[in-house]
Amino acid sequence: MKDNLLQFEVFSGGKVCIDLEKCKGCVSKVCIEACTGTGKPEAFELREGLPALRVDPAALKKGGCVECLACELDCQLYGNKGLTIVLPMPELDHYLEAAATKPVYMR
Amino acid sequence: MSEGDGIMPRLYEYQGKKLFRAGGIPVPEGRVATTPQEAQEVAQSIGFPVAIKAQVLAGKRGKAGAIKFAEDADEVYHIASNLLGKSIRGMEITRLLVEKKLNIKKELYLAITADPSSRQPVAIFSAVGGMDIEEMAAQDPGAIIKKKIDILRGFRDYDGLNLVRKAGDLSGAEKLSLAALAAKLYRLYRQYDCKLAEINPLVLTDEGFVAADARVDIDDDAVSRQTGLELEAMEDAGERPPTPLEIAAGKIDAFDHRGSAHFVQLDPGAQYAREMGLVPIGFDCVGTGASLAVMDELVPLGYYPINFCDTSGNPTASKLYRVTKIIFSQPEIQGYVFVSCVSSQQLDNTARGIIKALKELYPATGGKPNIPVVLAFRGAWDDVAQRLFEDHGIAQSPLVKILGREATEKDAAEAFDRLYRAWQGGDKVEG
Ligand code: SF4
Ligand code: SF4
Repeated sequence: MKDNLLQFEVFSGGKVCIDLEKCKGCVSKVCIEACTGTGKPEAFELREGLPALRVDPAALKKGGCVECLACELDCQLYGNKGLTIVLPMPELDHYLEAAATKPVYMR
Repeated sequence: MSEGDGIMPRLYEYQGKKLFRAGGIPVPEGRVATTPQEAQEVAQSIGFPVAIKAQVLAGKRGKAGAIKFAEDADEVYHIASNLLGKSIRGMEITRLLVEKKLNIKKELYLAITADPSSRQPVAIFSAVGGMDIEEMAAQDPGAIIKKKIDILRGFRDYDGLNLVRKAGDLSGAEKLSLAALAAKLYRLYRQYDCKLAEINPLVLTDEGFVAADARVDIDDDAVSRQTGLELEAMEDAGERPPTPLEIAAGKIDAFDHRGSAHFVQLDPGAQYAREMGLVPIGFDCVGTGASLAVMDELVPLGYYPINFCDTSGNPTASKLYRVTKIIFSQPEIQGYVFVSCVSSQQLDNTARGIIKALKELYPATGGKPNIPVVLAFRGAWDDVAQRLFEDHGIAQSPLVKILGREATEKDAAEAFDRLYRAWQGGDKVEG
């Protein structure tokens, strides 16, 4: 793992990726509290001013991360857009590549 | 399984027969062919006469001209050339099963399926086979014998004997043989987590009983544990093969049972909607009851949900994200409606999934769609769900209406109607 990239896998297939370079310029550090709501696993803590995992990534992958997407959406609104959740859908990608008529959002 | 490609929860005849053969249920000698030459080779290797059967997931294939018989290699070539590449009820024929033609003395019916009312498997037998079970029930209801099966005790040969003993024109030995077959069919049903294992017709030949056809439907919720079958996880699309979008949707729940996201295209290509003069729209509901109620309100107003989708059981936000992208990828939709029933699931998660999808689909507008969208959140965390759409700026779009727990299904449909009419009148999305 690169020094400036914090990432872990999620149960459904995909990754939570944090670009720590962006976090350096983030005032709110809202991702920490985004993952402390009801029933959430509190995945993150601040370590030396930057987000760090406070839960074993294996446990997060097993379902510890409930894939609520709160950290990503809050980071986009109130943070420095350092956190991205990538949830691949290869079958949909293949369909879109081959589709003769493009969906309405591509028009 | 072999044959190269993955299989789906409803198996083709040739796939079902492989399971039958492995389970000790006799099937005719035969193989799959994908070209006329290959069909000839198979026929020559097993001997004439042969049956040539189109492998499509449609019932009544005989009536549809999908089952033919040939006496020699030329006839095989001619029939195979005629069938391959043609369509039966919209399904293209790409494979033929070439089998030894059976010398039929009698046709019967045997199946194991799930009885939803008693929540037990049930064995069904009829001494009259060859037509579908509904036709049989209509013509001669007394001919159908059913026996519920205690799943803890199982189904033994003597249970099979109880099932078939009233078949008057069979000998004792034939009944014993049938009973053993029924027990084997039950073992197969359990081993492969079937919804239905059906032999219709089960034919009596000089060599004994043979499964002339095979219908095996695997429970789509059991796909993840049927690893030996190399099943493709996909939604059950009934009598037609699943669409690419249904295949994509089937992956969502395949291994992740945190709530569900069931997506089926009711009208792929929106042909029906167009013929009926209805506007095709994308659709998602929490709860199937709410789905039906909302559809009942939408259709009279002129809107036709071309897909069914149920995202319930407290699904993760990531499931909503994935299924929303799939719903919006139906090229024909001219709007989208989401309505939750008054549910106890965390609707803020539902909202986050939809928001992430919209933001990715519409990056230039920050998630504001270019078609009318109504979202009605009714239930737990519905206030948070609504606020999230405000916070992310999507609710502010003139093409979006967010409703809360006070909204009825009728309100949601009427709100969509107003939005759609305004859109047709020229409302644009602000960037
Ligand atoms: S909110 Fe985003 S940018 Fe800020 S610290 Fe967290 S991940 Fe980094
Ligand atoms: S997706 Fe939800 S549970 Fe997972 S890390 Fe982010 S906030 Fe926490």
